[in-house]
Amino acid sequence: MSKDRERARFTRRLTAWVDGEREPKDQTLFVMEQHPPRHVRQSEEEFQRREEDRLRKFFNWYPIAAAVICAVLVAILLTTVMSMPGFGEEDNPINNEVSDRYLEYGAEDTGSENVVTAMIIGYRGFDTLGESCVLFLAVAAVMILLLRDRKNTSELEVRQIERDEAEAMSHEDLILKQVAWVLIPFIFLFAIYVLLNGETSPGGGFSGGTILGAGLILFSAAFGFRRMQVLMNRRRYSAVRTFGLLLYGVLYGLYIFIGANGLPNYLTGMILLIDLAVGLVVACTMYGFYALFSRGEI
Amino acid sequence: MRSFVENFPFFSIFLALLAGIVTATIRSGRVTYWITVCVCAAAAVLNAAVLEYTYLGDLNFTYTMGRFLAPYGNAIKCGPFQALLATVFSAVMATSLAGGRRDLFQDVLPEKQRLYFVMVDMLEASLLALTYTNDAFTGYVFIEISTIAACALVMAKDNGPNLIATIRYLFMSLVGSGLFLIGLTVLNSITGYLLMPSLAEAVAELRITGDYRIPLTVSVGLIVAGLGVKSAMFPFHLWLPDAHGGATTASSAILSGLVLKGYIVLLMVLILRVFSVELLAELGVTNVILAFGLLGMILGSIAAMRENHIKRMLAYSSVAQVGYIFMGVGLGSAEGLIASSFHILVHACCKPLLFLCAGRLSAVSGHHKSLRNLRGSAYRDVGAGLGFTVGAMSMIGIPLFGGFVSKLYFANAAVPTGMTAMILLTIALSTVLNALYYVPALLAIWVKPPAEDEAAVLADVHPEELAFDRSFTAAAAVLTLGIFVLGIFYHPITDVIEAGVRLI
Amino acid sequence: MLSDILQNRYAVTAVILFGVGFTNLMLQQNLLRKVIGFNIMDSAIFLLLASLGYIDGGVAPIVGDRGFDPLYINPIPSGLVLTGIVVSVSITAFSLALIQRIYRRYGTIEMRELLERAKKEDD
Repeated sequence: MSKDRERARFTRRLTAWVDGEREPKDQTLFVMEQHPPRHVRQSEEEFQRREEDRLRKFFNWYPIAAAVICAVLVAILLTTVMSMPGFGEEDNPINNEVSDRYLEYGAEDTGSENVVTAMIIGYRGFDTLGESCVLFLAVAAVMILLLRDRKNTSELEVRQIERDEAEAMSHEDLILKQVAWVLIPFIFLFAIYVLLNGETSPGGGFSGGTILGAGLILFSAAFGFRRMQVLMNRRRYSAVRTFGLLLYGVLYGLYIFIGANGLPNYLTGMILLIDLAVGLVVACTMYGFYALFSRGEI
Repeated sequence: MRSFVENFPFFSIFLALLAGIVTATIRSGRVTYWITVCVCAAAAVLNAAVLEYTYLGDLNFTYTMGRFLAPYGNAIKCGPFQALLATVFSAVMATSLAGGRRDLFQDVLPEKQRLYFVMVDMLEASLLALTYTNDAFTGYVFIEISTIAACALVMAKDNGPNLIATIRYLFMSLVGSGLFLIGLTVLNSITGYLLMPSLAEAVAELRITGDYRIPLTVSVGLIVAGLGVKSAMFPFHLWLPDAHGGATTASSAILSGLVLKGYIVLLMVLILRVFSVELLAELGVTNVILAFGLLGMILGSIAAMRENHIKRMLAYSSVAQVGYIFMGVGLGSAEGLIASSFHILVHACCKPLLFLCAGRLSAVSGHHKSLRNLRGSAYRDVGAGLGFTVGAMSMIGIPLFGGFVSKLYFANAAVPTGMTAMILLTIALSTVLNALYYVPALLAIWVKPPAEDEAAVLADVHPEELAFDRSFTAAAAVLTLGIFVLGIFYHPITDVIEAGVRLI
Repeated sequence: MLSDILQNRYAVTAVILFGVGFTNLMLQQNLLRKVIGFNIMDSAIFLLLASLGYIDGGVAPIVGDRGFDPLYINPIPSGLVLTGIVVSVSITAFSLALIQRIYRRYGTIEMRELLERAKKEDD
């Protein structure tokens, strides 16, 4: 009987200790005043007060520390820059056999006269694939955040957006529409021109895709979201985007496989196709950002 | 003609990338979940084959990503070290997903689940690429991929504090990648290369001639600092507890166990392959890393002791463990790096296990996370309780568990340095501190509370949560097994790491 | 000293801009200003990269049949800048989306207030 009680008391004291609660002190033995024992785990209110205190302290010292770090960093970088190779000199370490090779054999190796294109798609294409994936991921991340769902948009807001849209449809901006009618064909034409001429002139997938995306944004802004949906709804959008990146990934994967295993290379027209694929991805990214930010829907 | 196995690292990276792209078009969350788990498992198998090939052949190989040999085109380089890490990372990724499955499907809205798995696939690809890359700039691109994907994993749960934690994490990561990029730019300007072997030659030459001493020092410092910020090295760890503590279970496990390690692995490869340990010691960088590592070990643990929130406690414990790893790097010797690599493996098994078990324990306690409300929860899911116990024991460093062996190796590596006493004392102190917060947590989950308290907690629990969670138990069993393997059969593993560091 | 600065004028400008951006990213309490700071910082790095590749009297590296052999600038930094810009655009979009959500949720984008509110809400 007493053993059971003993055990029960032990368990209670143990749980109390685990919780960080204090036992009521036995006052009969010690008459002198006692300091309350300090526990590592405080009670809820104490903890909260501490937290607030810490936050305040943090905001007191943080600017000072950050300012010191920034000043030191700038000082260090300025010293560094002073002893770096001079600007515009031909015999700097960066102008070595790698850039010579790119300039000399770039056109021959990759079929692109624009050496920057040759470099980003031919020589260092894996980086560029990673970069396209960054774009793809950014759209996906923005989609997680802004695509309408029950957590980020209430019924009320949805109705509000729809009302705004209906209003915009009934009061269409005449000037914007007329200008857009004239401009959009040229924008698309120019985009396609830039896209296809990445090998021989400044341009290529990234710049062409951005122009294409700008054209899509103008179309959507001038003619309203409903009409844009005829051209590009969510399913088509995701299909185009995935197709672009998948085309790039598969083509470049084959290219790497062939190159690394020393197989004969049949992918001679690859740069043009990859430029197209990159263009699609970039255009979709740009338009996707616009649509998601403005209405949370594609 | 190269042997077919040499294609496997490239296959595993591309498999994950393409899976990420395809996943974005699939509607059903379950299907994308299975695709992702299978891709991670397949990557683990492929990399295990590479490990066997490279370890038994005692070789490393460079795989050109394209037709152009270094220094003209991208390349990846594989040895036993990279293959081992890639295998473990992929396997842990698959298990973490399986273990956090139930929470995941509850926390993430159905229409956004596929996007979550896009992020996981891309994270897998970037981890593999960071491990294998032989090109510093490819490293930068994949650092950014893993930054975006990791932030997205944190915010997938999508409640207020999570969004704030994500933005803090994002800004801190941006500071890190900015520092890394400018360091890389300076390095490129004085050497003219981006491929690691050519960089190494140029750096070695600069070291002999003594040209561009200041830019070289600064670029090394900036690269170390950038990667340090990203992997929560001690003074830059403030974002970590909120980000890792607030995310959904699987995200916390992946972020704490793997993502932090990806950057450290890149740093180790850069140190070994490009800068050389001697140069770092000469420039005094190792001492700084060592100091931050030691401070992190102590202060991370102290911060963990003050936490009541179980997941935040585990997150602070990650800060301490990252401190251990940086301490090993800062010892400035091959032994230190081997100990750090081993600790990376141990922590990659322990921390996901702890996070998964903590998530499960809080699920059976009505999703409460403070230790007070978790009392006695181990009896509601014994598997989770046992898993948590094993993970905590390993963290404290009890013999037979993985954590003990890595502490042993750290102590061994500390002996030849001039600061043996200080390092050993810090390890001992940190062990005591670890025990001081893990033991109360263990007692909390194993000691039954008074009946009325338990009833109050149980009132919040959804009855479905109490049902046996098959995928969680399987995942916890796998990770527990991993800890015991690391703790008992550690010799073959350290042999592999040793061979890998030699062949890096 | 002065000639050194003039010699490396682009790099010096880039470093100062980097400092401005970095300071803004670290010290500003307003999230939008932090994003702007990040953009300044990244642009500074791109300026540094672009200035590295320039060679006095060089032309754009588009090799064609021009009948003569001009001096081309170094194409490598240009390619790296292109990659960097794309990354920076993506991250900017991502952080702006996050800020939009935070603003809708809390009605403020001051870091300090947000941290205080988040602490209260937490568990």
